[in-house]
Amino acid sequence: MKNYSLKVISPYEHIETNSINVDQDMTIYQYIDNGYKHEKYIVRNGAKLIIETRLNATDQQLDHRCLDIYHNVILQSPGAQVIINTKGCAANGNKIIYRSNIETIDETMPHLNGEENINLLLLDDMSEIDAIPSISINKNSVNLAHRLRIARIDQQSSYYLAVHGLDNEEIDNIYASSMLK
Amino acid sequence: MRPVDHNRNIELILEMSQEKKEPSWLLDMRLSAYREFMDKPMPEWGPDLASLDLGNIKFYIRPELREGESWEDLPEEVKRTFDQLGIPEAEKKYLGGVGAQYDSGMVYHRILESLAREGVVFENMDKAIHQYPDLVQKYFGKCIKYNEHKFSLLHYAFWSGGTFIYVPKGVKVSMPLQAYFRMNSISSGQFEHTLIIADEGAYVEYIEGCSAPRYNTSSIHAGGVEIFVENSAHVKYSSIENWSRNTYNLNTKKAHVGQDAKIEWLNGNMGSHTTMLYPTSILLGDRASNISLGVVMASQGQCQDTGSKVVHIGRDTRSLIKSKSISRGGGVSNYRGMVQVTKSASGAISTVDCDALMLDDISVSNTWPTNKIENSNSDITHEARVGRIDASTLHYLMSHGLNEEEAMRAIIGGYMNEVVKKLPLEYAIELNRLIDLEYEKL
Repeated sequence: MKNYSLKVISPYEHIETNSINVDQDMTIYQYIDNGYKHEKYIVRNGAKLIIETRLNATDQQLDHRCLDIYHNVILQSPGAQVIINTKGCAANGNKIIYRSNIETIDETMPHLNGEENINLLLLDDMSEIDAIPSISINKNSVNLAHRLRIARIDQQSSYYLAVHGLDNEEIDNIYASSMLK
Repeated sequence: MRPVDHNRNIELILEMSQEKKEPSWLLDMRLSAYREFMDKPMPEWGPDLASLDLGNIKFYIRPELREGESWEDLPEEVKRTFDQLGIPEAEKKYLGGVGAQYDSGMVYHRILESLAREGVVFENMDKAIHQYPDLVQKYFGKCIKYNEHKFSLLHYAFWSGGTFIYVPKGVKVSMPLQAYFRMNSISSGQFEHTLIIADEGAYVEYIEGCSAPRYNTSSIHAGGVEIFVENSAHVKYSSIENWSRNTYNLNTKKAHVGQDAKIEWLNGNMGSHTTMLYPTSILLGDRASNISLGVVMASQGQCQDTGSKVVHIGRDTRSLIKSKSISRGGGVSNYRGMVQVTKSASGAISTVDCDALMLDDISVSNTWPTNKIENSNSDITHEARVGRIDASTLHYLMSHGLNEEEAMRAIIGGYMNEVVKKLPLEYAIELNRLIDLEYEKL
């Protein structure tokens, strides 16, 4: 059975994914402000994988005006766990394509856990975000959840900053900085 | 697998159109659709449709029954079928109108006199083409384009029967209108077309039910539901689909929603071998809103591939999507939804909430949501959870005197309740009964 989503047109569509075996607890920090990152993580030996990703698509010189991120996590042993926290913002006509897939393999495995939190911000109407977080559970005992928020700048907070002398660009920079911490 | 006899199918389309005395524009649409269908490949995504034997399916079964205005007009075996489904009883008690379709033809259609006097039209689609030609031509095929996908092409080539509803400006239809679709023949296709038009400020609630007996060969249901919710109107559409396990349910449902208008979708999918169903709302007008609630059960040998799609175009539009699914006995349940916020949709707010419950270690649940956001002044949230019944909750109920099966049913009932309670009481009871039946089968 094949997956389907709205046609996501990416300049990096046909890039091969790197495959990384995670055999012990691991935390990965990623700051991506250009290009793509397509990676597959295979979590084994009951390990816990944490992925902290920050996506900065605000640079006016961004290649292809697009960041394309794909996290594919396969929980391959009893007790395997994953936590994915992604934050990012897009501005200046740039686009973020964020795709993720947390999946399990065919054999019955107990005690699999996963959680994904995605917070993305669009700073102007010229920019775009495509977010496709997926879960594929194949015959397993599992608890998985994901949460996605694509938010706008809170108008009241913006107004507060503006009356204290900041211009629109400075306000956007403050929001982007707080998102990318 | 038998190859599809295209020449015979085209002859069938010509015969069908002539029998129905259709206008030329409809025949042209049928033929264009079928010609494109011949060349269109099967979808490369979604559930496996390899065992759908289109060459062995009768796409149109010439109705032997004339439409009656009384249940007593129907042949005994047909009347008995609908009696067992409780339709005549329901009509007496709480419905404003009822339609019943048997294979390719409507066999019964009736609306309360009081509604008819207000200008509400609730008619067999085949008749509506002749009685309301301008209205039908204005709207027919404008929401679901004939060439949206392979099965919309098949639908527009062979559509027969279905319901036409028109509610005039400002009229609120206080009692639900219902249609029931029964696919009775072996190796058959049912392609009813439902067209609902709620004019400005109108309100209507429409409920559809469907079923079929089980045979060893496959059948196909590729109906179409087009809903036009004009400015400030409100349409509530509920559907409980309990097709037999040999049926491929490839329905297309879509709504255009105007300014300050509201559409509510409520879908319960229990039966069928494979379902591909994605009710879609296009929020065209400012402040248009959508609520989509779905309940899905996938048991042994079933694949329920469902989801809701919303496209925000107007300003300050709102959408809420809630989906609850249960997989059991090796069943496959997929949520495949989409939220799109276009550049013009400033102020759009969308919330999607999907829960999937897996009752054992041999079932499958997948969640594939797509979010495409092009306006910075929008707020989109999506949450999904996949899991099993919490052991401590089960233990708690069992310690209070319920056995394991009773405890599981109570938990499942509570899990589905948020959606089920939105149905009229009689249908909520029926849906709960169907959920129980599905649970019992294993």
